Formats: sequence, C-alpha cells, structure tokens
Amino acid sequence: MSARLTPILILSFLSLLQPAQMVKHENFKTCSQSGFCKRNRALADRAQSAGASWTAPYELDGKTLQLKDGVLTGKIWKTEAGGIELPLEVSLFENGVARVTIDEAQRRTGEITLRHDSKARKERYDGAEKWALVGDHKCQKTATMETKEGVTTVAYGPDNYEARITHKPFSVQFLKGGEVYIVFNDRNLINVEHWRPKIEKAEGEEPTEDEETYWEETFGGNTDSKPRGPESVALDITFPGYDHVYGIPEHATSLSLKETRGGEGNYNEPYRLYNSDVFEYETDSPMTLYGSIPFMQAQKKGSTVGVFWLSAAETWVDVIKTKQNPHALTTEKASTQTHWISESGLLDVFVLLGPDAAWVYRQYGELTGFTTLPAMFSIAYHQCRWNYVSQDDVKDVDRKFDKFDIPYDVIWLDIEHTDGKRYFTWDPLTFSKPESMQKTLARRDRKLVAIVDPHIKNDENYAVDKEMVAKGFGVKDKGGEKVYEGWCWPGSSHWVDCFNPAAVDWWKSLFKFDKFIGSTPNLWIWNDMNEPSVFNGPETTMPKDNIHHGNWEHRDVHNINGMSFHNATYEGLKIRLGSGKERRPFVLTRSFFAGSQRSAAMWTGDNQADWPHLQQAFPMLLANGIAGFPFAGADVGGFFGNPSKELLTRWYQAGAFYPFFRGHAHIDAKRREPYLAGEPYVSIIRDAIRLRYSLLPAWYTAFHQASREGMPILRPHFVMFPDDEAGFAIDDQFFLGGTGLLAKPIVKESATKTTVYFPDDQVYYDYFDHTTYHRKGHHEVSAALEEIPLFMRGGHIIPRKDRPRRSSGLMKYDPYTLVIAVSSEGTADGVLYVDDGETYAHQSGAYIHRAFTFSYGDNTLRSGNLHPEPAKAAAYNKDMRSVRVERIVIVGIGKEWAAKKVVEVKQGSKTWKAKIVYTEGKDGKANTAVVRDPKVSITKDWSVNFT
Amino acid sequence: MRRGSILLLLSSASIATASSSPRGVSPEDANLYTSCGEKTFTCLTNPHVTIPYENVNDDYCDCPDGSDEPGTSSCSHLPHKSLAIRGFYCKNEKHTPAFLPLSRVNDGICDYEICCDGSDEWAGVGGVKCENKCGEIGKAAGKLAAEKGRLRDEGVRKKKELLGRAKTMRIELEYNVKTTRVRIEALEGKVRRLEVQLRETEEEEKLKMAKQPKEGSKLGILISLARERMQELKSSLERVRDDRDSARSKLEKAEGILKALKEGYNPNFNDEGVKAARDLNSLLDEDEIDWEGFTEPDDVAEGGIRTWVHDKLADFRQMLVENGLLAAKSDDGMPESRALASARQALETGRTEESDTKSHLETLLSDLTYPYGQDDVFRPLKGECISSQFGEYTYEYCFLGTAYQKSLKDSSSVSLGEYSRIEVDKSINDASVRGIFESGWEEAHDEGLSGTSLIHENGQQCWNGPRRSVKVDLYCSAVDELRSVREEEKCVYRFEVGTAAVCGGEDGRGENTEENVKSEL
Repeated sequence: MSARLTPILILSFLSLLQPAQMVKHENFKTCSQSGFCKRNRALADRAQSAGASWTAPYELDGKTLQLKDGVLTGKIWKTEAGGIELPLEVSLFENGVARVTIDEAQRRTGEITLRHDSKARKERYDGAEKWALVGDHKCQKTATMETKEGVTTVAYGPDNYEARITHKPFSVQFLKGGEVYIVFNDRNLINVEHWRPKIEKAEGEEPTEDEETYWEETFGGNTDSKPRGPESVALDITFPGYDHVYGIPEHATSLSLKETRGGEGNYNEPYRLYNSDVFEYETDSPMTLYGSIPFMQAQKKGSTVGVFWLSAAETWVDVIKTKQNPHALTTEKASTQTHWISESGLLDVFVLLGPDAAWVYRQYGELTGFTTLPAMFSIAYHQCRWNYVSQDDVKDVDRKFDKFDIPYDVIWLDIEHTDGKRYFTWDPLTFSKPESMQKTLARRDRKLVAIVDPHIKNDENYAVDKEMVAKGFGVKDKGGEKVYEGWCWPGSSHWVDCFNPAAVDWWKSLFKFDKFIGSTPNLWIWNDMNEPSVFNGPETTMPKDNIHHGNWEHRDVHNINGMSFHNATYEGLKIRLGSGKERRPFVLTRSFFAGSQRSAAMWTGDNQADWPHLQQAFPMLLANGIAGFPFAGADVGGFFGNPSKELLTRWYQAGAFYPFFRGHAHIDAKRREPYLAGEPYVSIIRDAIRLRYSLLPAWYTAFHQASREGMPILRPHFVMFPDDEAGFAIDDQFFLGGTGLLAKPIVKESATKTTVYFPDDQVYYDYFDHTTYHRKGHHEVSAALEEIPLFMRGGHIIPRKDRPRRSSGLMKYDPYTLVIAVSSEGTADGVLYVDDGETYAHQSGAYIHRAFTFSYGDNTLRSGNLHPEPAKAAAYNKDMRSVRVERIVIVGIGKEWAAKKVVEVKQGSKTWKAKIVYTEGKDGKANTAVVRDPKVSITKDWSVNFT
Repeated sequence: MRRGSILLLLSSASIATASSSPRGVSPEDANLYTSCGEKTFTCLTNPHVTIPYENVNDDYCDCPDGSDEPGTSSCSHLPHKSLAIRGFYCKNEKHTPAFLPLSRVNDGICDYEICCDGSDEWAGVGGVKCENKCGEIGKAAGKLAAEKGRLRDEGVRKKKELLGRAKTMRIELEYNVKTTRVRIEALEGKVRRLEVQLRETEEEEKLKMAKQPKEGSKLGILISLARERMQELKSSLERVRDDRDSARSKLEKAEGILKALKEGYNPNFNDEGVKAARDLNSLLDEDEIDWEGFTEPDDVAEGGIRTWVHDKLADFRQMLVENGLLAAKSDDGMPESRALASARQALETGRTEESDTKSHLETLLSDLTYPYGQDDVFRPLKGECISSQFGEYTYEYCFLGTAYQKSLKDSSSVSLGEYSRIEVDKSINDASVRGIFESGWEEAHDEGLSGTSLIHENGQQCWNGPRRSVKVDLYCSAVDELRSVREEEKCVYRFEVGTAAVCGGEDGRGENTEENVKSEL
C-alpha cells in the first residue's frame, strides 16, 4: 500500500462499522433515494388520491396513425410544456408478439442542449434491442386497423389477437377472443419525462418536490451530473384477473412475486433492477442483485401471458394486487397491477399473449434467443474455491476426488491464480506450469475454469492495459475523453468497453492460445464482477455519467454491461481453435440481462452458508428459468461462512438439482471439498453427486429442449399444471424438464420428513423405493439426512446411465438404463437427446433423438426416431452404435407380470429374447420388473414386447 | 454391429476362464469361479442368487455383491460396502498385481498407475488401446522401491541414533536433576546458617547503637529524608518507564496493523480485514498516553533518566556532606554496620543462589516432562532448523520451535506458530481419511505420512483471520527436510517434514500403508 492510499482506507473503515453478515442497505438506494423512482411513485400516489378525476396528459393523434406492413405508427402528444411530440410505433410480429415503442421527437432530432458541455448523445437510448434481441422479426403484413370513436382496434396474430388503442388518454388493451388480458396505462401512470432546460429559480423561490431531483443527484458521496436532466419513462401495466406474477429476476424473493406497496407480508419497496455487487445480500427482499431480466409473466387458471420491458437503464417495478370492482357484474377476482419505471431510454414493451406457458416461452425465446446447448461437462459437477492456491493444490484436489470415488468434471481458479490480479496471466511461482496442470486434468477428461474479470489493472507494464488504453477501448469518464479509473481487485483499474465493436474484436483475440499464454483448449472462463463492480463507485458500480462507445451514458446501458462482456468472452473462446474446430464455450457470468442465455451460465452470486440462503436458491433458480435463462445455479455450501456438515450435505442434495452445479467457498472459509466431510456425510454427498451423473442423459435432454423451445429446465408447478391454482405459489418443489421427475430437496435444518404436494391424481412413485402415491394433494414423506424426496410421475420414461465414472466424458459410451414409470392408464413415454456433448456437429445433424413409448394395451416398449433427417446422423450413429440399453426397469405393473420370464426383442429384421425378472412391491410399493440386458442399440429403432 | 462385437468379446472372455481365472479375478480367488462342470454361478456373499455360468462377466450386473462381474464395470454402481470383490484384478506381469476400482474398467482411460498392463481397457471403448507398459513401469517402480527401501533402512538407523542420543540426554538430564536437588539441600542449609548469623550480628549492632551519640538521630532523619526522596525519584522513574513501554507497545500494535494493511490489503471495501482495522482507530483515539512526556529533551530517554537520577542523587549526597550531615565517602566511621551489611549481603547472596537453583530445577523438571514424543525421540532435534522455498517464500522450520515464513521479496519474516504439542492420528491411513481407492503408483514416489504431527500455534496474527498456525505432518526420512507447504485455509498451514524420528517402529508405518489399504479393499 502506498502512502497515497492511506486516507482512502481510513475513510472506508470509518464508514463501515457494521456487524458482519448483513447487507449494507445504506450502500444501495431506496426508491425515494433514486430521484426518478421517487417522482414516479409520487405520481402514482397523486393518481391514487385523485381517484376517478385523475387522467394522464397523453393523447394519441388519430390523424397521424398509419398501419403499414404490420407496423402501426403515429404521434402521441404530451399536453404539457406547450406540447411534446412522442412518436409511437406498434409492431405486430408474425409469432403474435406485439411491441409498443414510444420515443421523444425533440431528442431524436437533437434539438436539445446538454448541460456541463456533456459529450453524451442526445437521443434516447435505442441500442438495447441490438443486445437483447435476436433474429429477424417479421411483422405480420395482414394485420388490420379500424378506428371508431377515438378507439383504434388493430387485429393481428395467429390467434385472433386485438390491440384496442384508446386515443385520449392514451391506453392500450390487449385482447384475445374478446377477453382483456393486458392493459397499458390502465391507471394513467404513463410518464415520459421530456427534455427541458434548467431554469434557475429566483431568489426565495423553492423548487417543487419533483424538481429537487431533476438535476444533480448525490448519493454516498458520489454526485451524478445528469447532463440531460430528468428523462425517465414509466407505464402501468394491469393483468386483469391474474393473481400471480413471476419473473423479473434477479431478486432473492419468492417465485410468485409479492406486493411492493406495504401491507402485511408485502414489501415497501419496488423490485429494483440495477445490476449491482450486493455484498452479503439478504433473503426475502426486493433489493437489486447482480443481474436483471425485465420479463414478467402473469398466471391465472388456464392462462399465461407475459410482458418484456426492454430497458437497459435502472428500472423499478411496483406490484400490487387488487380485488376487481365489486360493482362489476363479473365474479370477484384478483387482478395484478404493475408499475414499471426506468431512468432513461425508450419506452419499449413487448406483449406475449400465450395462451399457455409453452407459447410464452417460445415467443420470448424467439425474441431474445434460446438458451445455448451447453457442453456436457458444464452440466456435471464443478469444484471451486477462492482459491486453490497452487498447481499442486489443484492436482491434490483432483486426486482426492478419485481416491474418494466422487465424480467431478471441472476445477476452478479464482483471482489468486493470476500474477497480481492481471487477468490472462499466471502467478509465476504458484502456477508456474499451467499447461501441465491442464494436461493432468485432461487425462480424466476434466476441465479447468479460470477467472477473467472486466477490470484491467492500471499498470502500464501490463500489456492488456497498455493496449486497451492506447487503443481507446476502455470506458471513459464523464468528460468522454479520459479512460475511467476506479478500484477493484487489482487496486486502480480500467474497464474494457464491450459496447465498442473494435474493443470486442480485440478482447476476443486475447483468448488465442498464443496471446493467453498457458491456456489450453481445456480451459474455460468465469466472468465475475461484470455489473461492473467498482469498489469506490456509487452503489459499488460505475458513475452513471461515464461515457461508453457511441457516447452513450453508462446510465443508458448499465444493465447490459455484464452481458456485453460475457458475450465477447464467449466469442473469443469459440474462435480460438480456428474455423471448423469450434467447441461449445463455457462462460459463467455473475451479471446478466435478457439474452445472456445465448452465451453464458449464471450463478446467484455471493450467498451465505446458512439455511435461509439454501431455501432461497430454488425460488431464484426457478425465476431465472422462466425468464429464459435456465442455466443457473447457487454456490453449493454457501459462499460466505462455514456450513455445518448437515447443511453442506443438504446443499449437495439440492445442488444435484441445480442446472449449474458448483461447490464454492470464500477465501476465509474452511476447506469443504466433499471428501473432507467425514462419514456418513461423504457417502451421502457422493450419492447425491452420483445421482446427478446418472441422470445426466435426462438433464441433457432437458437442456436440449430448452435450447429449442425455451421450456425451463426446472419447471414450476404453474408451468406444468396451469389449471391447478393450489400449485401457483409453490417454489420449493419442481419438475425436472419433461422427465416427470418431481423433486423436493430438503432445505430445512434437522428435517426427518417433509410434505410433498402432488398436483394431480396421476400415480407418483418414489424414485428410490417405488412407494406409490395415488391421490392429488399433500403427502408426508420421509426425508432423513440420506434421503432426497424425488418422485416419478406415472406416464414417463426416464433415461439414465448408472455406471459412476470419474467424469461425464468417460460415460460417453456407457450403456443406458430406461426407467418406465407406468401411468394410471398403463402408458408411458419419454425422450432422449444425445450428441457428442462438445462440438457443433449436432447443428449438422450429428445427434440421436429418440422417443420411447410404452403402452399396456399392446404391452410393448418402442424406440422411435425423432431425428427429421436421419441420414445426417449416419456417421455419428456409427460411432455410437455400440451404446446399448443394458436394463429396462418397469415400475407400477400388475401381478400378472410375475408369470413373464422372457420378453421378445426386435431390432431391425432380427428378433431375440431377453430375461425379465419380476419383484412384487410390498408395504405400498409398486410392483416392478427388470428386463435383463435387452442388447438394443441407442441409435436404432427397436421394440420390446412384454407379452 | 455392436451386439455381435460385444458378444464376441464376452464369449472370448468366458472361454478364457476354461484355462485360467475369469477376467478381473486374482489367482487366489480363481477357485471361487471354477465352474467344475457346473452350469451355474452362486453369488459369493448372496448364496440365494444363482445365475447361469455364462452370465459371469457378461457386462450385466446380476449379483447384489457384484461378484458375477469382476471383469467389467457393470456392477460399479453398487455401494462400496456391499461389494464382495476387491475390484478388477490386473496381473501386471513384470510388476506387482493390483486391483482397479470397477468404475475404471472400460472407461476409455489407460489406468497405468494401477494397471500397467493396460488390461483394464479390454473393450477398446472409443477406440482406446492400452499397450502393456509393465516393463518400464515395473522397472522404474522397482528402482524406486529399492531406493525407498534404502532410505528407510537409513532412516531406521538414524532413528536408532536419535533414540540413543535421546537416551543419553535424558540420563544426563536426570543426573542433573539429582545433583541439583542435592545442591538445593545444601543451599537451604547454608541459608539457614546465614540467617542465624545475621540475627546474631544484628543483636550485636543493637548493643553498639545504644552507645552512639545523640546526633545520630538527626543524621537518621536526614538519611530517611534522603531515602524518601530517592524512593520518590525511583518510582517516578518507574512510572516514566511504564508509560514509555505502554506507548511503545501501542505503537508496535499500530505499526503491526499498518504493516498488515500494507501486506494484506484487499481493495474490496467490504473486506472483513478492513473492518477489523478500525481497531487502529480506537487505539489512536485513546488519550491516556501522555505524549507531552515524550517531547522532553533527549536526556529523559532511556539511559538518560538513569543518569539524571544518579546525578541528582550525587548532588544531594554532596550537599549533605558539605553541610556536615553525612560523612564523606572516604570516611570509615561505621565498622559495626559494615559487619551487618556483610552478613545481610551474604544472606542475600545465599537466598538468590537458592532460588536460582530451584528455578533451574523447575526448568530441568519441565524439560523432563516436555512433549518430546515417545522415548523422547524429538529431544535431540530441538533447535535444529530446516528450510525450503515454496512460491514467493522461504519457509524455515525449527523442530519443536518456531516456523517462519520469509518473503523473498522484502525479506520480512512472519512467525507461523510455536510448538505446542504432538498429535498422533491413527486414522490417517483409514479409508475415511485417505480415500477408498488408491490413486496408484504415481503417489508411491513420496513416502507416506506417519500420522504423527507436531502442532504449532499462536503465530503472528493474520491480516484477515486467525493467528497463524502450522500442523507439521511427519514422514520417515533419513535426512531432515521440508517437503511441502500448503496454506489450505487462510493462515492455516500444513507442512510435510521428513525426519528419522518417525522411521520404523510404531511410528514409521510409511513402508506398508499401500499394501494395507489395498488389502482393505
């Protein structure tokens, strides 16, 4: 530490006299400390007290309306300040999505003056779509428009959708079959704060409450110069008849979102979306966290709809639920009213009308991209710690996993592996031979993940920094000329500006093997601190008046910053082996936005080793999953603190059901690699990890479905049973993909049993002992430490690989076990997707996609091909043809199966016989039968006849 | 076609049983698998399960104890404790036979560390071919084993030496204790005599004093005044010294915090350590330090004070002498008090000698009961130091003393802890600690740990954690050496140190651990 730094330090510890293990609320703004949020909430309060007399000064000029090729354009006049012109655009996409965009004409044309000689752009930020959206969204040319008595009705969509636009005041109802599903500006809270010059108040004249926060704002010793003054956009969106809303991650809260305007059990603050490094975050809170996806879903019996609020700026969302007008003739039903408030940018909202969750997810996926199909190793188990301190340490951990017969695929290196927190380097003393270390790991088909953060050490002798600064690829300070300097792990740092395409190209080049010395194809990357975290910045991040490429203020792009960075990393990793040799990259990110699912996995950041954080993880992961970003996990064991052995064990059992499954620990925490726990814990943890490995075929199939259709991997009850209102708020149990597996891992201390909810009258079997449950409702089940409540819903066929190997790569050619959970109706089906798990060959058809069907009627199990172009899979099938089904387990059969001794197997033109062994179920357990080695190939059509 | 090819392979495996044991079965277990013309195989520990003989090693797990599939991975999913077989037996001709965990059979990896003959990948999964490497591996392993054997023998010899030295040292110590005790007895007698002598002298003096002229009392008053003044000066000196010491220790603490800040500062303002550093603040806030006292001229500083007091006393005495209140130094006026002084002096000396000798005995006795390990084997090592370089530090370890971390960058030195005790962990070679599988011969390069560890605690306070501590795990070595240093958790270190003190005998189990564990499998 140089003497220069001492004052900073002393200042900082003076202000930090806090008890440990508690989030510092004073470091983060409440709504009332964030000027634009305060102003818009105050507007909502005024509207509330004005009641029916309240109206919004926004009028659509009917004469300006034009519908052309599925795009409606017109002008909204804000009838204040002499009239402010707000261009309106409503785009009607072929897939049924409607997009409503409102801009500000005087800013578009640049007829405004910025204060402080700011170099910032004058337009409202319109670049978010370049980052969040994918593909070519064709508009529906057949959409029609009709205007009557100040209401314009646009008919569009594949399913008789209607947008009913009232001109004065401007509002929009979205209907289907005459029923209203979503209303914009139902409560007249719309607000587009237009640009205005600052007028100095005369002596003695007090500014209005709103005006107090129009200009400079100071928080925590940092002043935001706000060169454009007030510019927020806000809109209220009502979901009539919907009593549950979900989504808008990332918050440590329940899946079904709570109300935010007070009342018992409700929050007093809106949900905030402003990507931040929240140290020791608390559970059950609407506070902002590391990432944000402004996508919300509303659910009522039999209907799912969604809205996507495309803004990269700081955003707050208020949620309240009301009973419908009791004087209305309809039956009394709850409605959800939301209020969306963003600091800057366009008002830009997408409406997804369903009718069901699958539709909404598909539509959302078509907008922002589906989750990328990950490499197989990345959905296996990861072992991390801050830090494995040397290459010998890494090798030792690697060896210990084998000695304790616990599988793992990836070991991680946190910041200490670098030479003085200079990313792309290795500590010359402790990691002197990184290549040899990676080679050792590769011998068991294991990988290494190393951290690369966006803060670049301010050091002219560090080539990365020198080059970045020289080329102007760093984020600039508010003057727009000088590279911004702040503090992070390396001390004084600069930040790479991945909004700059040239900076992205340069960043990508850093991953080339001849640039990143010591890296091998076995190395993948962890992008942390990309909110960005700036230790001495306002709210631990960058000043909002910093300038990015294109002269956009940081305020405009903040929530996309993390994604711009991990996207660039992903691209760099993808191309480093050269064209045609690409491997699917693995990148873990802490900060994210809508679209992050295309290139990264996320984790829920720095949680704590306590039971509340274990409980909080599933609701968070479920929320991420339904917001299109299912490749998500929480640190197993809890990052801060030391978990008890029981907590660690339960966390592994839960983690085995996280799409991203990684054990991690803080540098001050004791070592907690699974083999250190002692018996019986090591054995229980081993079983949990092995369970994950044996179910990898099912997990991979679920990821494949997510990558094609957007269906979440952990599926909440409301997705699977949209008519079962009793399941709408459940977030501690869930289904795994389409497998019919229902899991409720234990997240409470000292549990010996738990209550599981079965959402229908279908039969459910205990996964392990086949105990049978026939009745919809709550059932008490045993849950001793070594037990994970896991059930198979009747009617599904689950693919497994039962041989525990050292890593997932070594299971490639292992045989399958198929488990048939027979439904009450005597049927079952299932899907299996297989490919090489690492390359892009599947995009050229090199994959296996099978449908398994079983029916009591004809007593036959069949494997059918789902591959639309089987010829393209020929070479891959040849490689995989020796992979067989070694065992078929049939659960839930009649006693008559006792008589069966052999089954007839048919594959191609050949038939043969295989043995079948029947076991009678006792004490409420299902009868089962096992087909002994039917010797059928996973690549072929075949049938097994049980008659 | 897969079905054809695997059947072919499997049947060839079965045929092999006709001449020798089935694949994956050791010769000593071969008798359990002889068909003797029978057509069925009975699971070894589940005799109620009987399967056709052709189902042995057919890559399908029939027996709940896995005994039907010693040559495939098909029973690898069974819980370890229910397995009746030790794994896949690799013949490893030209080397030592070994058992490979079933889950590693046919996984596409040549597990040469255990199966140098490559027999574990008999199915050629994914096209893998594992040539027999037992020739070279066996040769190298043999060489290594011989070398290790030689070193162990050497170690055992060294240990004998150590034990011999320890014994001699102990005999010497015990003799020392004995003679010290005798001396103390003598000294106690002497002190008693001197006490009597002093008493007698005092009696005599009293008689003499009675005959002294009156002015003695005036002198007495002055002398007592002088004494009082001296006492005052002395205690003021003491107080100043105490103030200085306390200020110095506070300064040291503050410097320590700043030093730690400098070394361990983590720019994350949320860092626990930064929070801890607020102690510095409270330290500086305290007003009880009289800083004014330190701004006085230099002569008040250490040494200065003593001289100053001495000078003042000398002046005072001079004044007394000049005023005829005190006899000049050269004056030889009080022969009686001289005798008294000499008696008192003799007693003082005697008592000091007695207490010194007693505390010497304490030291000897505590050394006698100090944790030097069985047969005091570590006693001769005490004070011996070894060092090695790891990463950016040189680590110095002094047996039963202090462990240090010395930076190569700025040559600062940090204590990692002082010796406190020996720990013997008998479970170090248990499966629950070591792991249930051997990872193979690669590990055999290093001598195994003995289970005896020396615990060192109370090292320098860590920037952001506990006081540093080191657990020194010992292994048998002919030469003292520091083989590895790991900081497994913040400020919790683990050294591996070689010493002959744990060779052979009960402690030196290193040589047979591998075998032990394998047979446990």
